[in-house]
Amino acid sequence: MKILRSADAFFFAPITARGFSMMRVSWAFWVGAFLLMQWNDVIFYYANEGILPRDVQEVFMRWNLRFSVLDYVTEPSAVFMLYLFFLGILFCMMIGLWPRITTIISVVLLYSFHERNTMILGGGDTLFRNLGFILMFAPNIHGYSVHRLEQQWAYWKKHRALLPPPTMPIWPWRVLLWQLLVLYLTSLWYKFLGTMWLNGTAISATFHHPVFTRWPRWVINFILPFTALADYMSLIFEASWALLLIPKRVARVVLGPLAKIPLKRLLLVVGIMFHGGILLIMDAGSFSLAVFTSYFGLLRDDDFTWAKTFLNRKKKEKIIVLYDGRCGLCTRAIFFLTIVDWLGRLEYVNFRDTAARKKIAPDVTEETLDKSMHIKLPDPSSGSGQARYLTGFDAFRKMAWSTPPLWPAAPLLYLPVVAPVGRIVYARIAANRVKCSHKGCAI
Amino acid sequence: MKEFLKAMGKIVLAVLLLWHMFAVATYAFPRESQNPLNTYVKEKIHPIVTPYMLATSQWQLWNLFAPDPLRRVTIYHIEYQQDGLWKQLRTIKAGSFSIFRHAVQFKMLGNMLNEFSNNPSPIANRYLHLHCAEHGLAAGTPIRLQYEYYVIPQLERPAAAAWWKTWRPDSTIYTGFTTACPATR
Repeated sequence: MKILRSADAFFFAPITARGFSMMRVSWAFWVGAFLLMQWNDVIFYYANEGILPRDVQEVFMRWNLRFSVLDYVTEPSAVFMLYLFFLGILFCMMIGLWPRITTIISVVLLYSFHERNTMILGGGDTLFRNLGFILMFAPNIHGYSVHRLEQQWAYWKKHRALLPPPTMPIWPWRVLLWQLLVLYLTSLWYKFLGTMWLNGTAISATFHHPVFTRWPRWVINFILPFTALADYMSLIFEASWALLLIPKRVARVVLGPLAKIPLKRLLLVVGIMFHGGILLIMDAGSFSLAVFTSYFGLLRDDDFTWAKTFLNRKKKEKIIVLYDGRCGLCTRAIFFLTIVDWLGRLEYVNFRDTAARKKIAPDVTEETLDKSMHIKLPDPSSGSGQARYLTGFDAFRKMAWSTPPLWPAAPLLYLPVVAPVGRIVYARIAANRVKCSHKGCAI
Repeated sequence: MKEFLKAMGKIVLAVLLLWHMFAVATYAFPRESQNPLNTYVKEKIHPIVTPYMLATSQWQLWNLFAPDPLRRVTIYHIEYQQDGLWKQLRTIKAGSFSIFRHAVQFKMLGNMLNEFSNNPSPIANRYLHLHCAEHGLAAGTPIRLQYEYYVIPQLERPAAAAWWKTWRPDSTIYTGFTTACPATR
């Protein structure tokens, strides 16, 4: 009975589904991006008019145990239409429009394009295919989606709080981890079958291959002294993944205090540096980005907590957002901020609540607050010792730095034209916000 | 009854997961390795797992830059004959494609190169025929694919930058495939 319970926990214990939802978004984005890069070559690669017409395909590729929609769609215009449809479906998958169905269609189409022309596939393509297979079956991958947003909004309107984070059984995580273990350990095995990795000369030779290297010879010569070390570090990194096979109980006995090191997280951090280095120095197709995509899926609750703690280590106090609780648009804005506030750095206060306003912002009148959204910054000890406030567009810009989904946009908000335009747009919205309801807004 | 079906569902799913994990691991075993375990896997296990791996498009081999990285550097020359002389139509080398197309195009060319050992070589034939159409070459015009290559040395120990600075590649030119432009595309 104990064995059955252990087996049940091994495959079906609940874990967060956030990592896999992120993997869904990243998968759709990168598969779409690399597909988009083939825009000019779609007919050449995939249509009968291209490099592999049916008669040539039959000679070059296997013809059994395969399926491709492109076996039935062969005319150039139809192939291009299917390509456009695939891009559209990937976009829907990325934003999470009907996430289950768009994920299944995307994966089937990816298989179809790959099986139509295997000549152009690299390691990254293979990994995307493997990840797609797991995503297709993984439950609850609808986090970070339009679908989830609709659910959150409905719940928010009733409870002024977000839904609990989605969970899923652990088995997709285990299959994903196994896939990466197979990748790294067989890759290591292959390297041991040659001589150059063991001699420390593999990376230097690859850096001198003009098809792979991204940099001119003088740059390569500059980093050349480190390549032998990089060879051995690569082998050690790949071998280290085998340590994840050691059960925690055994590790505690064998390794003692060392077992407390969060090995998986450490490997992910080193992996980001390792594959990031490859991406920076070499043109190895989509492989590094496929690996990063898989890393999202390996994230568990403890990783998110660690990341949050790490990023908040210098932020002891929260930014207080003073909003108009009577205005529908403002409430929606607060809902939006709650959604993107992954680090929990924002706190919301309805300034129409007089007691709360006097407690948080005694030095600002309700009339002033009524003109635009105010934020109170957490560090009053700096500068004059007075609490510092920002309003409107400037407040939004400040909050963008505290909300990870807005990080990519944050620097753009400092561009010369953006700030003045942003202030004008914000002022118009603020002036008209009383006309807004939860359903709509006339600006 | 509901609990029973749920438990049975879990058991079936667990068995499928174990099967998938087993198939992925054994299919990815290096083909080149000659040790007894690999020989056993190749002979006894691969025939069982291969149909599943192919049918689900999960086929995979992680021999990236291994056992040794690719050392052959190839420049592709496409030439056509005019008045008895071979003239250059196109040269493809590192940098010939934009960053967005580079990796995929060279992957394809590399596979085409590996396929040259097949005689006749249908992909090289097709590739040249597409060039005929693209450049409007008349039917019957001889066209060929030459590849010029050199090999990056396989060193026994890491060499200093000074050594690499003095190293000069020694290129060889080889005619890979010759055909004639077709009447129609």
